[in-house]
Amino acid sequence: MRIYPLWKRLKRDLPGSMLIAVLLLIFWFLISASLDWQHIFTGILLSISLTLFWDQLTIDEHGKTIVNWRQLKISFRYLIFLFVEIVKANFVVAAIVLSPKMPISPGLIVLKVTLKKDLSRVLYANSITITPGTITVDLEGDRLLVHGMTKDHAFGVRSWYMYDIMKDLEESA
Amino acid sequence: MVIFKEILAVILLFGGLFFLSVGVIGLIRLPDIYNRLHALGKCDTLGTGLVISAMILLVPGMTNVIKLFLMLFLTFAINPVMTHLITKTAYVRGTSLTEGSFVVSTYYEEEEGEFLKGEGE
Repeated sequence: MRIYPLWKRLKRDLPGSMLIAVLLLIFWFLISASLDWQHIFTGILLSISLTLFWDQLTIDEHGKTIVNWRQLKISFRYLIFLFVEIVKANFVVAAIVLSPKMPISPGLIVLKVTLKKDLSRVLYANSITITPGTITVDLEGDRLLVHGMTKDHAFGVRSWYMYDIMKDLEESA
Repeated sequence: MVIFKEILAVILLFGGLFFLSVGVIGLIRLPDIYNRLHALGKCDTLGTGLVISAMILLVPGMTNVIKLFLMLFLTFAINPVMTHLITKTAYVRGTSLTEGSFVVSTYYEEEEGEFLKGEGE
């Protein structure tokens, strides 16, 4: 049995692992909500050892963590637009379900995403799922299979403005 | 001040109730599993979110508020994933679409200007 070198992570990415340890510590204090010395001691011990043992947990995909303010700003904008779209989606579905005739024309459509990172593709697929009238059925390579509730919604995904923001977000890295 | 907070909480609660009932009505009325998941996946996200927001206004104590915020975040993260998983399982098992559905199995690639064979039925 080989002993796993715990310090390897620190050598590779010291600022990133410190950031993760501090985030874990903040989360610990938010949940425990008390400041005795026992809580502080346990929190520091646990967050440092978690950071060391959980070698796979990095903020970037591999390697170093770089703070990128522009990327943070764009992702904040993405979240705001996503929330607006979620609220809109609910009213669209409510209008369709509650109308007596139920004006649906459902169907499947294939579209292409040219996003490079796995993470941004998954986020984009999930954004499609919680926004008006569309659900992502399958994601394979650069092709997305989308089910739309009406024809307009299904074809509207092909030129959706959130895609441009996601593209922008990926290029800013 | 307390009365305004409670009125706001009641408004949020009834909003959440409205969207959750729309989800259930959609589950009953819509024709096939894909359309039903449209109603459930979306309305449950906002309905649960509104109910949890009302609870954030009503519960005492900072710790509970933080835990409820965590639940809110997790709901918004998990709901689309579960919707997608159920839809994908239904698609892989070959559940048929309802009558009158369209299937577009190609996508248009702008650079080359031709229709490529895509994945579809």
